[in-house]
Amino acid sequence: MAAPRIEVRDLRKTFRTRNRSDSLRDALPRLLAGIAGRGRPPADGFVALDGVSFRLDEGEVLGIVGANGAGKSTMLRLVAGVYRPDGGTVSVRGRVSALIELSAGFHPDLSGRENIYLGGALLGLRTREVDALVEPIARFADIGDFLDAPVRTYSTGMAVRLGFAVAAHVPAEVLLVDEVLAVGDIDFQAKCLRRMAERRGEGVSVLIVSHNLNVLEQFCDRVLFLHHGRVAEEGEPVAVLRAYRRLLAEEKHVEVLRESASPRMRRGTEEMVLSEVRVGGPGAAPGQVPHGGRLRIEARWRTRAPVERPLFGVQIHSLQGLLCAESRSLALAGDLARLDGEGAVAVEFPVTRLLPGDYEVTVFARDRSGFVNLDLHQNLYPLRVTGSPAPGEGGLVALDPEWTLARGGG
Amino acid sequence: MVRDLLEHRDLLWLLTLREIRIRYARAVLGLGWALFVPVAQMAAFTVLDFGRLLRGEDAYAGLPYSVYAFVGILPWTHFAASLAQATPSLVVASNLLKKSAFPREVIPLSKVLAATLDLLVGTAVLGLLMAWHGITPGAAVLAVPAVFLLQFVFTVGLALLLSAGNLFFRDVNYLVSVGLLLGMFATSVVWPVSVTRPPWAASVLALNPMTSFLDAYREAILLGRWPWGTLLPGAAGAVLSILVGAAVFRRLAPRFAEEV
Repeated sequence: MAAPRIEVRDLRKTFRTRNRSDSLRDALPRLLAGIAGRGRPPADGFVALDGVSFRLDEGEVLGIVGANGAGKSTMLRLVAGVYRPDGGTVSVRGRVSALIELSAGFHPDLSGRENIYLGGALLGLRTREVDALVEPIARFADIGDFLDAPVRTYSTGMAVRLGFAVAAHVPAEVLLVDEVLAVGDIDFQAKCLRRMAERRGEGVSVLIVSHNLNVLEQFCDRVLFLHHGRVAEEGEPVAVLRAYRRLLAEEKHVEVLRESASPRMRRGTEEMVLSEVRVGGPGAAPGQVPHGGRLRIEARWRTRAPVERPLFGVQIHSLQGLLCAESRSLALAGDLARLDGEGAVAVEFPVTRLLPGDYEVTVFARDRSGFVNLDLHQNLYPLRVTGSPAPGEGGLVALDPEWTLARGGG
Repeated sequence: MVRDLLEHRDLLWLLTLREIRIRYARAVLGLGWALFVPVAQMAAFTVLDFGRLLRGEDAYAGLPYSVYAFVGILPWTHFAASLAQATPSLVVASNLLKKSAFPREVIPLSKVLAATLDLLVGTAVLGLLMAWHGITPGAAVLAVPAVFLLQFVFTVGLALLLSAGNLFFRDVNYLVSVGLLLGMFATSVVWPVSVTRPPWAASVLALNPMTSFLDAYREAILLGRWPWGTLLPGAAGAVLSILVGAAVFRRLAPRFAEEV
C-alpha cells in the first residue's frame, strides 16, 4: 500500500485554561520551559484531543463530525502545523492548504486581490506562481468589482467565497476545510462540493469538518466521529453518521448540541416585553415534545404604554438555521386592537410534524407594521422533538406518506 | 529555518510592502514622516548646543555638530523603530498565526525590513546635508554597508527575541519602550560616550554594540577611516544576538498559535 498522505498516531493536545491576569510568576516558567525544549502540557488544562489516530490516503475525502469542543478544529490545526502536538505524531506528506475559521487569515485592510497573493505567499508560493491563480480564484469567488476593494468591506458570504476559492485553488496535496458549508447559499455549497470533487480527482486528499451531515454522507469516503477528544467511530459514512445522530438525540446536555447557524439574541423597542416563555408538549419535559404530539408555546406580555394592533409570532429553526415553521397571531386580529397592562399569549400546534431532533424557537412581538420588533427573542429557546423517525423517513418533517405500487402496463 | 525562509521569501517581501504601505498610505506627508523625526531631533540637539559635548573629541574638531548628530540619529532611529514595531508584531498577527503554518520569523523580520526604507530616505538627506557643508567622504565610506549589515543582524536577533518574549509576557512591550529611551542615553547617538563620568563608565558604554555601530559609521563617513577596530564590540554583539534570538525563537515558535 502507498504511504498515506496524512498519518496521525495517538495524537494528544491539552490547552492551558486561559487566565487573563497572567502573572510573571506564571508566565516566566512557561517561557523558560519552552526555551529549554519540551514544555509539559498543563496538568489542569483542557484536554482537546486524547489519543486520536487515523490515516488519509491520496485522493480520499475524510469527514469529521462531533459536538462543539469535541476537538475537530484542534485536529485540523494540528494537521495544518499551526499547533504542536503534546503527544503522538502527525505526519503529512505534501503541502497543506487550509481554510480554518473561514476567511483564511485575510488581512482586512488589503484588497481581495492582495489577499489572494498573501494567501499564496503564506503557503510559500512565489508571486509569479500566484499570478496564474488570480483569474480562476476570482472567477470562482464571483465577487465582481469587490476583488479590488478592502476585505473589511465584504459581507461574510463574500469573505467565505474568496477564502474557499483561495484554499481550493492553490497547489497543495492536502485540503483542510472547516465548516464552509454552514455559510453561503445552496448554489455556493454545491459549487464548493464540485470544486472539492475536482481536487479529489486530481489526487488531493480532503479533510472536511461540517455539521451538514447530509452532505458528508454523500461526499465523504469515510467519516471520523470525535467525542470528547477521542475517536468514537470511524469508517463508512452512513454507519458513522447514524452513530453520531444517535448521540445527538440521546445527549442529555442541550448545550453541546446548540450549534446554531443563526445568532441567538434579544432586541426590541421594549414598548412591549415578553417574559416567562415556555416551550414544550403538555406533560413533556420543558423544551421537549414527542414527535407527532401537541406543541405549546406560551409567554407573558407586559406593555409600558398602550400598544395598538401588535402582532405576536413564533418561529422554529433547525440548528442549521433553516426556518422550519412560522406562525403569526393574525387569527387574533380583533382581540389585538389595543393591548395595555399585562397578560399571556399562547399558540398550540396539534400535531408536531417535525422529525425528531433539535430545533430552536424564536418568539417576538412586533408593532402594527409587522416589521418593528417590540421584543424579539431570537433562537433563545431550545426545542427537542423526541422519538425516532419511522423507518425510511428523513428530512425535516413527516408528511404521513402513503406509498402505492402498480405492476404491468397501464 | 533558512530553507523555510527562502521558500517564503515572497511572503516576507509582501508583508514588508504591506507594512510600508499601511504606515504611509493614509498620512498626507507620506515618507516625509520618515524624515521628520530624525531631522527635528538633529535640529533640536544642534540648537541646544549639544555640540559642546564634542569639544573633548579632537577627531571631530572642525566638523559641524549637526552632521555628527545626524549620522548617529539615523541608524539609531532604525534600531528603535524596528524594535518598537517588531516587539508587538506577533501578537498583532495572531490572526495569521492561528490559521496558517509559515515560518514565523517573517513577521518581526518584515518590520525591521520596513524600517530600512526610512533609513535609506534619511541617508539621502544626510548626503545633501554633507554636500551643503562641503564634506566629501573618502573610500572608507564603502565600509558603511558592512556596518549596516552587522547592525541589521544585531537588530533582527533582538527583534526575534523580544517579539517571542512579548507573546508570553506582554510587559515586554513596555520594557522595550523604556529600554529604548534609556538606551539612547547609554549610546553615542548625539554625544560621544567619552563625556560619561566616571571614566570607567565610558569604557563600559563603549562595549555597547549600538555605540560601536554608530561610532563606526562616523569613522567611515566623517573621518575617512576604516572602522574595523571600533566595530569589534558590534560584530560580537551581532553574532551573539542572532544566535540567541534565532535559537529562542525557534524553540518557542511551535507554541505561538496557542499562546497568542
